[in-house]
Amino acid sequence: MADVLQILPQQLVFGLALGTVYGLIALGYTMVYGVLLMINFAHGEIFMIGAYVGWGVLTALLNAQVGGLHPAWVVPLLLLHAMLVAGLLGVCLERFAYRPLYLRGATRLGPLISAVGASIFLQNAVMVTQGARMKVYMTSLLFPRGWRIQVAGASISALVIVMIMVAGLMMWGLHELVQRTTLGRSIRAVAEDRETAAIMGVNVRRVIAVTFFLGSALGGAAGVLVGLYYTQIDFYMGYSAGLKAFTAAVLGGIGNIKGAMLGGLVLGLVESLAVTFGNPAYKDVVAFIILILTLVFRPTGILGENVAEREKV
Amino acid sequence: MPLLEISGLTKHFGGLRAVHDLVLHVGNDEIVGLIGPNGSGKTTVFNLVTGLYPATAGRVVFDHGRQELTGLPPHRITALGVARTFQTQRLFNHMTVLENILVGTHCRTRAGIAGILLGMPGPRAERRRVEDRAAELLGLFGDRLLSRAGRPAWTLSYANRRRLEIARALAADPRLLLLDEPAAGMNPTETHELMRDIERIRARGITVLLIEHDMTVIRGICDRVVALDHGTKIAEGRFEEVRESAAVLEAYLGRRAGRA
Repeated sequence: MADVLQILPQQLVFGLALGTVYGLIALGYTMVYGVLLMINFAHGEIFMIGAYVGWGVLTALLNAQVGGLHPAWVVPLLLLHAMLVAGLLGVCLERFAYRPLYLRGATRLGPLISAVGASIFLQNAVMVTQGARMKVYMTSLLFPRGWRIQVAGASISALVIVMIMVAGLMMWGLHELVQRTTLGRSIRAVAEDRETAAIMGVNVRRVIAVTFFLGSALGGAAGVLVGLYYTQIDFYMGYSAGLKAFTAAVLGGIGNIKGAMLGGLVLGLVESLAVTFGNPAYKDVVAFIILILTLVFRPTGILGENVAEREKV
Repeated sequence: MPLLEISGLTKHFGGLRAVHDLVLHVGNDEIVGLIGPNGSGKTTVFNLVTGLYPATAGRVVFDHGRQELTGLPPHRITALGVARTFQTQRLFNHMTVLENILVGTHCRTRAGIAGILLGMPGPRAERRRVEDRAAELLGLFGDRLLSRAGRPAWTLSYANRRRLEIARALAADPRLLLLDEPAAGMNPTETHELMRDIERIRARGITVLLIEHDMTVIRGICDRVVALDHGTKIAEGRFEEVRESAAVLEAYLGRRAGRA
């Protein structure tokens, strides 16, 4: 037991880092659900492609033997590229895989099946073009192993601090955007009542496209963070991460932006506690037990859906 | 050419002829009442004019013959100067009163999405202008909305929600305002206040087309009345003329007299 208590602070820090990343991915699910009432099951693959883009840029920098690689500019560079590509990919998915369906008045099942198809397509596209073997992030060249601080018995690496800061900053930025800007108001208006928003002069299709861009960009950023942290990525990584983040979104209350952040944190912490006190092999089981319990006992999630009182779609 | 000109407008839902071969004109600064029994196609006409439904046939032309509305998406039609309210209130209930108005001003602000994504807060002058305008619109209803600007819309009383719907529609700076049963559920005092408010809106140079079941409102403020039944026009003219029309008596006022 003493052993367990010794590693507890360490595990909590891991849980926090993992939780912020889950939250970042979960935002993509929850934002898209907010405006379209569909689960974008290809979001995990967008996260995976974000990780590949970050890897590609980092590897290119290393191959070009650029001197003075420092996280202060390399990490933002990786994030920027991954977010841009992931964001545009999300917009394309919406444009070509979902919009044709909902414009023709398909039921909610249509886009969902299309999303599963897009997910399989993207996995295989990456496998074919990048190979099935895993890629390695040379994280140790960016973050020397010695960069860590000791806090309350936990040894926290610089990378973990960067992860938590980046994810936290992005969540704060998104929250400000949604609450304070014209664009954010349009997103909330479309989420609450698409038809009325259109009548009030909101360009609904553009708002949906921008929502896909934002959610996907955050997913792409999460891909880079996970790549840096676990150092190994493959074309299949989006599957389980996507399901976990989806769990986080449901746990917090799908459609609710704060809920996605909260759900991510709770899931990350619970997982790391399960590893600490139980058998690490059951880590994934714990996450999905949470999903099932949430769906059975509180289907609206911890914070509830923010877009209730809608009569149709 | 009148401000709004509807010709041959037809909407079929499967076998149901909701609106059939409708001809309707609304002139500048008029207040026109659209009446008819439930299911006579009044709201469908609004949905066709604002682009929520595609028309089966016919044309809607705005701005004295200069602007075809048929086939345009709703947000474009709003930007061209047509705003509306709904029969059942459809506010953004989780937003504040002020935010509801600000959504209404969207088509009149220029802050582009690229600018927002790049983190530019938008020209400060424009934001000031928009917020001043929102305050002015809330002020149309005295202190009733203004003093509650920061509250979520769902906390408002029923009558105040209906007022907010009108203020939100006005935020889009329309030339034509479509009101769908604005007096529904209001008590006589509130109804009279509403009539004064609509007159004031007209005095701002806004043309009004309204659907209403409350004949006090129709008689009190409408310059002209159009009666629909089963999707076709059965009478048109001043209230007194329409009231005397045999077709209207049969379709509408007869039933209402029986109920009263």
